Amino acid sequence: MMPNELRYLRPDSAEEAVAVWSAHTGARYLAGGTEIHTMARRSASYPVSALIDIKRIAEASALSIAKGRLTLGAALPLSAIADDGAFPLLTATIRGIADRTTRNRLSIGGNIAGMLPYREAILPLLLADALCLSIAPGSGSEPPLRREWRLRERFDKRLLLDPGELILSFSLPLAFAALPWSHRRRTRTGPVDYPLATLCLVRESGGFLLGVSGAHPYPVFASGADGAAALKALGAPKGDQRATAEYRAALMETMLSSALEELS
Amino acid sequence: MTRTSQLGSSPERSDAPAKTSGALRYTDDRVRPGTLHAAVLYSPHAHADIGRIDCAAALAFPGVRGAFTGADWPDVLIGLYMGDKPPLARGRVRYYGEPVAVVVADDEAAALEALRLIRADFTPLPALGSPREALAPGAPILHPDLGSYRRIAAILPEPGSNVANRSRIRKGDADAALASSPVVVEGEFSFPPGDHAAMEPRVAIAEFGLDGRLTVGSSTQSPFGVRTLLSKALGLPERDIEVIAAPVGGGFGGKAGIQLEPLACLLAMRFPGRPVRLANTREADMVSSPGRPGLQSRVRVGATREGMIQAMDMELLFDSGAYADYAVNVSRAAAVACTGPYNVPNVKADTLCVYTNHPFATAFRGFGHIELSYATERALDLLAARLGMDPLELRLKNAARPGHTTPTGATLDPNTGDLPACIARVRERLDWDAGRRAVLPDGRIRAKGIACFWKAPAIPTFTDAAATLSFAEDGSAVLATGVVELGQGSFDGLRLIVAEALGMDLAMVRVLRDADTDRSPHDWTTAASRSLFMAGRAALEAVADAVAQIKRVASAPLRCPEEDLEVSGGRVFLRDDPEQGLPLSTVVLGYVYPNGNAIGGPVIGRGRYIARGLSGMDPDTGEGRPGLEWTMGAEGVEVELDPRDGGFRVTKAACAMDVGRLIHPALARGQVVGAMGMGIGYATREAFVFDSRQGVQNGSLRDYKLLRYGEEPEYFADFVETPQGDGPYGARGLGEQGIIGMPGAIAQAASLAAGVELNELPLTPEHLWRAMREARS
Ligand SMILES: Cc1cc2nc3c(=O)[nH]c(=O)nc-3n(C[C@H](O)[C@H](O)[C@H](O)COP(=O)(O)OP(=O)(O)OC[C@H]3O[C@@H](n4cnc5c(N)ncnc54)[C@H](O)[C@@H]3O)c2cc1C
Repeated sequence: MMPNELRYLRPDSAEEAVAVWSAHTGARYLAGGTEIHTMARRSASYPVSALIDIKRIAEASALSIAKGRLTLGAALPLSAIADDGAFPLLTATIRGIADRTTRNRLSIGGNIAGMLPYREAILPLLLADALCLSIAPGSGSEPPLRREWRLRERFDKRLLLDPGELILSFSLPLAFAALPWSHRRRTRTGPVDYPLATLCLVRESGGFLLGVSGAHPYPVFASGADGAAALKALGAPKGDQRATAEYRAALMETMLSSALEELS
Repeated sequence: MTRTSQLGSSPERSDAPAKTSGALRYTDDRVRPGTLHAAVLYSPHAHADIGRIDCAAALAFPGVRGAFTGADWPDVLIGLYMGDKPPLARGRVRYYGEPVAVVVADDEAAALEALRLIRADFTPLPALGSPREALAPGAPILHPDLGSYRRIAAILPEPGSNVANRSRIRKGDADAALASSPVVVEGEFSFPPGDHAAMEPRVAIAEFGLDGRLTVGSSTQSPFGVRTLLSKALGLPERDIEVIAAPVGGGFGGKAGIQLEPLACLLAMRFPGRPVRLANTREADMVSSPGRPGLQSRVRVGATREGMIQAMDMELLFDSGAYADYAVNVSRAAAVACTGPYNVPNVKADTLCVYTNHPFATAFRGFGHIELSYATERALDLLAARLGMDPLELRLKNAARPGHTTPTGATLDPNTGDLPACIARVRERLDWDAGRRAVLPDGRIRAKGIACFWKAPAIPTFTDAAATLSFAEDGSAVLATGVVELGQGSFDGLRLIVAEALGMDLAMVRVLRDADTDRSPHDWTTAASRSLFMAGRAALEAVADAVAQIKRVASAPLRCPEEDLEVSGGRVFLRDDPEQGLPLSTVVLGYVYPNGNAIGGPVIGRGRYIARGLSGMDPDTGEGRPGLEWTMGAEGVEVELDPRDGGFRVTKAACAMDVGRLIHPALARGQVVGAMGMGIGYATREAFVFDSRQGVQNGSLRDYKLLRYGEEPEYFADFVETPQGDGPYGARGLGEQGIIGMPGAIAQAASLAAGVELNELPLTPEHLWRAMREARS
């Protein structure tokens, strides 16, 4: 349950959002709010004192194509990105997440910055070597700091954001979106569930790029001259109450072989 | 004046606009200002001794009015058939999620915040994770006081053990028949407990009035049952208790017993004049409130080489969890029907309700019949395989018919449904004769399975229903019953029955919704698929009574004998001269002559029903007639299995049921299709996952998955109509039955597809993959 005392703030600009964050201890950025709500309800160790709604920040909600690059605002709901369809692998990956009604709320930034081990939407962006534009509070009286960085560079099991850092958008070359790709997703039973394994495979000139979510405690990706090499590089999967490590390993193999077949 | 029958038409549900728009007010939508809110601390252990519980910090929290533990009510024990459960754990917790302490505060947020300040110490104990473990020599005894619990005579606990009830069936001589049967098969079949997952979490709002009366609004299927049980548990007479049941957002048996009401009432009695609200979160509803039992079973079947069943010997062990609740009677109901709808001359069955350290179990749609059906159908599959016989043929051959006897020795009367006709419909729907197994071009395997079911309501011998029919100025009729609306649509069926009996337009008939023990006529419980049957019978009697009163009044102004009159089309008129008559509006509240003289007064029809000819069971042999009317049917599925990774889907599901007479086809289809969907969930995914200490690992909908729209197979719901002589217009119960055969049919189809007998549920892809891999190696 949400605490009784909770501030709701809705800034119009990125700079303002960061300033508001600095002014409120215990504040969180609010996008779709699905994780914030479920975590606050479930756990005492998830304090929230103020919510900073980022959906009014224009640059975090824009979707644009310019100079051969696709830019996706971090506050965009997953369904808006999937419906646009400019990056087919991302569309397919997003459509595996939750259900349509939930995707109308889940944001891509929230999915990637969230606490769950899955964060499936990050896979296509990692494979595409996407850039990320963020803004963070300046130290002391310094103004907020904007910077653009390679997602891969600050991804180690999770996205390594600085305190108060807000993701504004992701961008990637459209040329990557045109490469041959394949997507596979398996769950314990029905389709609306966390993945036992989600697999994103892209064929590029030098070989294959492979990203997997659900099989390990965090998203993983690797490249290889052939699919099997990439799979090996990902390391052994882990078991949990949804499925054993053994079954996940078997699934990944069948999924990879059918994905490779699709691309051959 | 002849009218065409409205029975068999499917008018729109009268509650559809309110339900689909969200406007309908359920119990928790009726919270008054000034209500206190309770929040519960749940046990993190499945079995532990409780040490100190320190509530001081919680009590000091702003807005908190009180904090309580089991020690506050040292003598109260709650139960249905057997009082074995304290309102809050005392000394020991027996399951993960058991209520341990409760905080009452001015608002819910304060109660929840304060709850976090309670310090409770536990010393974990070894936890029992299955009936077999609980029956093993040396197992800890979970209820040392079993022998002294208050209980009804039909329940047979075995003090000194973990057996909460043992029902015995001894029909013929099963041992001898098995010894002389040329073919004998035996198997063990099991599944873990699970949850009902009804859409509305349970809630109770109780107020102890300054006049000393207790009023409880509850999401219950059984307002009258709750009143009786509260009276027993709290020591208040029934006259001082009022239970109000608003429409319920799904029950499936989970709200048929007594749940949150006792604790809510005990709290309310501490704060006279202020309502206290005790509401489950989804997670508490799944784990802390009761779910459905799990099963471990062993079945032996003996047959001739031609496949005629000679005998069955079985043991059904119901995993009742920490408390007996409804599960003791579930295990008894399973004994009554233990063979499934087959003619079995010799039966030996022990059905046991066993305490474990799992969340406790209550009634669940099917009431013991899913469990027995799954066990016997799987055993019949082994028999069919041994005989090299088509499983459908085996069932057809042994189908129970009028003149056969049930396991309790009751003779199936001519009202018995036509099971062979049901089997034939399913055979057609699934194109059974085109082959049961095929490999598709992409490597997946398609297979079919079939199972049969029967069910009689498992009810007390004196189960009753009542109805009153009154009228408004416009001549319209209002039916009042004690039936609870829980999505099943009984009211629309009852409305059709009343409209039919009065020969009236449907628009002129209403059925009252809230059931209220102070105002509604008495009704046993809205469960056991009995409402249309029993309340329908009471409604028919109420109509007949009202019609007689109408005729009596109208006979004076119409100057004719009462027996020359007829009521239909909103009028009362001379049968042989229909022009001579009066609109009902001028009669139902009394007739007024032109000079102002009046006669009659308001018409109130009165109707009752009580179960006919039921008797208890002999404790040693089970002999008796505990089952009112038997609904029979057949179900089949087609499934697709991917042998590479166990990927599994039900693609077609067919049910054919003999319902006696179809009153409202759309509602009937809704019940049957809903039940089949629930059965698919049951067989393929819905079950608790326990850790090694019997903690529930998937106690939220994040992890406990139900079948969703989009995963539904193609459904076929067919109805056979062999009239039930004593049913209203020949109808019999159909609400639960569609779920019963599904687990068996799905397990049969999956086993055929996988090429290995699958004797455990749920049939998840990993389970199938593992079974196929083990079979290969
Ligand atoms: C029903 C359901 C099913 C789901 N199924 C899946 C699934 O199958 N696969 C999967 O991968 N995920 C799944 N999720 C998880 C979901 O993607 C995450 O919970 C995600 O965090 C939700 O996004 P949101 O916009 O609602 O996040 P919010 O709740 O708004 O935020 C989540 C966290 O991210 C932070 N945050 C949000 N936006 C930004 C930003 N721009 N910059 C920095 N920090 C930010 C917030 O401060 C917060 O800490 C599911 C969620 C639900 C509710």
